[in-house]
Amino acid sequence: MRRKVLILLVAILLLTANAYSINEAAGAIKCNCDERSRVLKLTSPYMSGDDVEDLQLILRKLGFFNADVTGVFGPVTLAAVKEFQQWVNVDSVGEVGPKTQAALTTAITEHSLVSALLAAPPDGDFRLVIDVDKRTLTVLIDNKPYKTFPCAVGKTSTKSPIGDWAIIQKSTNWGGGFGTRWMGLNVPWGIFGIHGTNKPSSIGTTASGGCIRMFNRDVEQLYPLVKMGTRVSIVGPYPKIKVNQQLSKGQTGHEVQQVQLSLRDAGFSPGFTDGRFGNDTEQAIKQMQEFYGLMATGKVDFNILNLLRIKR
Amino acid sequence: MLRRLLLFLLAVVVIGTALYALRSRMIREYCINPQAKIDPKQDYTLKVWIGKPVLPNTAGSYVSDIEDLVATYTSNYTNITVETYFIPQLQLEAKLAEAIKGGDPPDIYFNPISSQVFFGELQVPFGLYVSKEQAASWLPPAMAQASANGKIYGYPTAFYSRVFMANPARLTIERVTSEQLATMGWTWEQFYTAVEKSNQPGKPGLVLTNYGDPVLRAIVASTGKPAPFDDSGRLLWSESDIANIAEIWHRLSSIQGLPALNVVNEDCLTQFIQGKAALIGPLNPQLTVWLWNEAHRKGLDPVLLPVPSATEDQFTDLSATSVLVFRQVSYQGHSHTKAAAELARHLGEGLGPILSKHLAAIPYGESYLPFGAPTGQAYSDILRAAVAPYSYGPAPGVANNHWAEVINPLWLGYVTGKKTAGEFTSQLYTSLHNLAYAQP
Repeated sequence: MRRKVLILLVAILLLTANAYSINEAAGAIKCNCDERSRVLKLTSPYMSGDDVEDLQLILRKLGFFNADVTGVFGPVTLAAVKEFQQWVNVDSVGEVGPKTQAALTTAITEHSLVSALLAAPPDGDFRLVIDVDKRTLTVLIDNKPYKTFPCAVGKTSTKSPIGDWAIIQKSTNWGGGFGTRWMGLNVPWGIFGIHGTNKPSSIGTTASGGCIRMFNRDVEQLYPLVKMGTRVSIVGPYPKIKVNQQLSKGQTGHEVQQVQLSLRDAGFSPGFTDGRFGNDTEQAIKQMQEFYGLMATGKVDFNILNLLRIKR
Repeated sequence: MLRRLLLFLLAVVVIGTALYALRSRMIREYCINPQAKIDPKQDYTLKVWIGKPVLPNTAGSYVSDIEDLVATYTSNYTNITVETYFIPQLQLEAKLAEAIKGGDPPDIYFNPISSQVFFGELQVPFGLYVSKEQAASWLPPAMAQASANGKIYGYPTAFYSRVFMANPARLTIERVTSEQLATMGWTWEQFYTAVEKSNQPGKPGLVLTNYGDPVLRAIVASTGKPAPFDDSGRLLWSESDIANIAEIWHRLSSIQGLPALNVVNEDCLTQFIQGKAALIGPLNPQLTVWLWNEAHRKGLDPVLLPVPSATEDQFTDLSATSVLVFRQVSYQGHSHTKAAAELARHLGEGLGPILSKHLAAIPYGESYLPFGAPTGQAYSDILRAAVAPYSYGPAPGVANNHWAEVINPLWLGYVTGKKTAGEFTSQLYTSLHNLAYAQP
């Protein structure tokens, strides 16, 4: 009998202890939830905790926060939050409430996905297309859009060079306005490239001197995938150029590009619209001259300008 | 003795019958029965080769237009499959030569640019499938340019003209108007005089678009012998014919007051459009259409004039293209050839407007008249087209090289002053004589 009472007492004790621990656990979850759902902002004294540390880690991964992760919400974290909010079009107040939390979750999910995808893009013809009207840079693989990034393009007074180019230079940490990465283009009439920025708020606008600006985090993702010679097309309205001289193989410049563009419009294949009068352009001119029964000199003379309706 | 004689006669009859049977069998393999019918229970596969030239802006629809044309044939014959191959123009003749050598040419061959109609014994004389009434309805130049060795080998589709364009306000012609010339034709003598009289300081009587191959071909067509060889490879041009060609250029380039004709005129189109030049040419169909529209846009009222004739018979430069039918070494039967011939006829009737649309050719067939001013006017020139083939002998892909490798270099040597007329004449005659397959 005594033995039975003892067993009963032990059982009661065990059950009580279990129930207590369940309650304790439930209470902890509730407590943590409360803590995580707090609005993070700049306060005096500064807010601190795991949630702030998590925020800093996410912002850092997304490329908005470049300082040490301290778990303390100071002015640097505030600036990073504001920059992020501007990027995702959330009210840029510097406070991390439910909307910003949701945007952070979405961004980090996409970022992880993109990182995973871009880390090992599928095989195929890799090239970049920059749309100056939409202000986007799209990675094409076998002519299919693979990933699109926002970018800034040239101002009205310093337009981005429309045409077909190639990457001829790659370097890191030019610093300043060029951000963390630089990829130079073979534009014959100036130095243009794709680069990062120290003015992320300019992304999505016409702000540059003709270069293509990207967020540092984006250009850093793109950089390892781009090889020397990667083709880059900048598409948009071509400026109308008058051609005042005859052109021949070896010449470069806007006038050559105008001829290449007009040749393409007329259905001939001058190669890349890159302002370089090379073999392909010469061949296209000869084909056009033969098509119209003219002497096949391969030179752009006034007859060709007439047939292409290029003003002089 | 009588018995021996009988046995001998019997042997002769047996051997004779056997040989006759063998001959009939052999002939059956190579003869063609145009009366054969397409068997609706039999499946046929026809291979069609179509040349695809450089066609700015329209290459896609050129292909689809022809595919649509083929589809209208196959829609009537569900048992006939047509495999259409579009072959880049530059490779077309070489590929045909290779296929003929291998004994397996396509059933239908169409070169949208060339006038060559005869390619040797594997070709089906298309005339077998042309009724007398239809043949009689063809204009003599069409009939002549679709024929070789006295047989019709092609179904004519379209003509290509080479013309001059005149600005009547600038051209001075004696006794006739430029409009009258357009329909009457003219001689080189009239041409020289008109150019001479139209010359003014800063306003040339003539500007040439080209002094190379096009002007040479225009001149030789005007002699009535547009090709140096006939279809058997026999040389048609005599030494005096070549001297005559050289003389036409000599007279042309000696006209007083003209800028040098043997230098590339890099602004000849503007000179005409701005009303400075009285005459421009030679113009191929593409440039004719462009210049015609452009001249009208600038307020000119141009007139198309045929290439002048070197003879009293008024030949001008108009070459025809035709659809050709082939058989293979392993003959696929009379009904197969009949199906191919029917398809050739269908294509022959439908390709003219397609060539007109994409290559500014003049479609052959009255139902297409009038077809725009430039082509419509040039259509009247068909009657002046040479009643002689624009061809180059029986070996495709090889024989035509003589234009690029022999005739043109000698011509350019002559017109640029590196050779005298005498050197050009004798060297060209000797070269062509050596190239001829059959000696005259």
